[in-house]
Amino acid sequence: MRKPTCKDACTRTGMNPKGSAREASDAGYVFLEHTADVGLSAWGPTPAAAFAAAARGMYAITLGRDPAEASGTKATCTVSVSGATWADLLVNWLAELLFHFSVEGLVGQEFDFSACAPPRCSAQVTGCILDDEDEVDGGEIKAVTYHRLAVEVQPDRTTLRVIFDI
Amino acid sequence: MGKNAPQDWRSVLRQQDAVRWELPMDYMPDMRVPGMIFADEAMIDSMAGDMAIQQVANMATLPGIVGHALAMPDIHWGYGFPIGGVAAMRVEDGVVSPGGVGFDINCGVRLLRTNLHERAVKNRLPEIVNQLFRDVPTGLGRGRKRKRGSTINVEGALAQGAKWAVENGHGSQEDLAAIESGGCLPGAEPTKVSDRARQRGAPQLGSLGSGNHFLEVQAVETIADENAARAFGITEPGQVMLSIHTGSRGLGHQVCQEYLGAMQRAMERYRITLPDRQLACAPIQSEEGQAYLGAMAAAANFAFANRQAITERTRRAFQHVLGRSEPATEIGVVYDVAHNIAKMERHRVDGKEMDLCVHRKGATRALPAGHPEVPAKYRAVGQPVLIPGDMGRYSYILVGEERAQRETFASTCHGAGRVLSRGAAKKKLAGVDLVKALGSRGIVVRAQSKAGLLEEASDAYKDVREVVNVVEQAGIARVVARVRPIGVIKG
Repeated sequence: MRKPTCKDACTRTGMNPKGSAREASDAGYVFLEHTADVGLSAWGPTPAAAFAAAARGMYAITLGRDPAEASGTKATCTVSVSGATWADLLVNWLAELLFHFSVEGLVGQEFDFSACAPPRCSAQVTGCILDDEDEVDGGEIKAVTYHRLAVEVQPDRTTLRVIFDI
Repeated sequence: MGKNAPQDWRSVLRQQDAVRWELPMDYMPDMRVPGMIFADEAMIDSMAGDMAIQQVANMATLPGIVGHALAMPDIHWGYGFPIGGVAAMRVEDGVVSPGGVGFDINCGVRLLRTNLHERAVKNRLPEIVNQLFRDVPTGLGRGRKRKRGSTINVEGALAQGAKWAVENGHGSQEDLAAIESGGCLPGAEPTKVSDRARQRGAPQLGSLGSGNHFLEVQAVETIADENAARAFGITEPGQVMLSIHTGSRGLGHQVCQEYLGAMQRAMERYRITLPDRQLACAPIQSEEGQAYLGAMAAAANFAFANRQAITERTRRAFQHVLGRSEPATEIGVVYDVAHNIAKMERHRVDGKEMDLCVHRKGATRALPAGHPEVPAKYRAVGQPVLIPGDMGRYSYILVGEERAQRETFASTCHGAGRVLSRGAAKKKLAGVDLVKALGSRGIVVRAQSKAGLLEEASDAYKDVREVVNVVEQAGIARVVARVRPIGVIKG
């Protein structure tokens, strides 16, 4: 399976640090406006690439900048979730990353997937544990919602939409 | 998601009077009850193409719902339920929906009173605000400057709420008498709260969080009902008050996230089909329903304990700045309301008393005078209802009215409601130094995040006065006093 890296989402795809796409690209995300909450649309050539892009977008909302810029103690963890449908899998994937961020301060920067299709999503997440919480300047994500959730998987492109409660 | 929102809700809604709009049952085939939206004409017009009223229709499809699916005038598009939504389900055969409570279980507001006049604190205000900012953790994650992985035993908070906090040195017994449900929801089952929820939330006990949560130093601006104000300890314009707006932090978020997933799975088993997955629910009497209610009550108690702990930190901050022996620094709790909650209550529907599970998502309980659940000291006037506005304008203190008991399961609005998304607010205010701008108006602001502060600017919110006017006109609550911010602490 192709291993998406931070470079895929932030540089190669023409994503600026605030997350707005400058050009059509392989994998990336854009923020979606929602009156009370914040969402994002993410895409990639494979479900794994799109899931990785959605994760980066989620971190970007929280940090207020690109997660690739986050610094701290290097850390790795394995994240493994189940879900009967693509929608469940996406919600559970992001909710699990959010849990690790909330409890450990872990910001994922690279994602090496061993599975990414219902009923399982597993990835080795490499990133950093924030040393200084004061460098966080985004919005606290409370949870990942099913509201307007969409996952479209095609042979060469996966697109996602997810709204966060903040 | 059900249907798309019509561009003109007036063509769908049946106007009952200036502030009541019925959403008829024939709007959508699966609606079990009609909807009722409390709003003025301008509010209805501003919702053209908006999905919030559609969400009222979706809410009306939930099994066991009685009366009306209700929306308060601060209604806005949420996930599942609209923010400002109220729905009551029969306990015997209805459902409970975590989405009808929200992720921030028992997000609520606490109002504190002081004997200080703003004249007396004017020169010390920056010092007071700085001290509060130091003493009450704000911002993302674990509570600022907390050690990661610190293990805090929160069992007592989950089981006993604010009572546990008081017994552990955070406040006095007197405080407990001025909190909704005495600061402890019955039926809490700490064993139904996962270890993960504890891990996420425990280190955050006693912290504000971010987003629209705040701690405000306020001054009474006007008093509209002197009798009720006196009962609430509000004596004169200029009196310094404090408001705390926060909830159950990561613990509640995790509880809701986990039970939403569990209920998604349970719905198939109970053959419940709904127009929106975020409305996921289970029968109240089912194992899943009971487990959620037990966990939700425990998370609600955690939130009561959280606001209690912040209250004590606030007291100490004031005493630190103004001197411990100064009697004017005595700070009392006026009241504490939950505005994201599901509660077992008894109400009269179609002339019959019923046991109901009342979901309030962005709505406040508003009990009238004489109700036995109103604290004894307020029973002659009614329950205080706390309605925060925005950090640049004002907030309101209302009191519950009898009509709320009859029409809204004793519920009213909870706040201003956003009009701009967070992104739009930042765009509109790009380059504005909000701290300076508010400072020039005598409002001292300390915030963890500058970007977050812009998102919370007055421009992003409805004028809360318009919201309050509607509930007053509808007769479901009336204004007691208005306060304006003089010091703001934000995450």
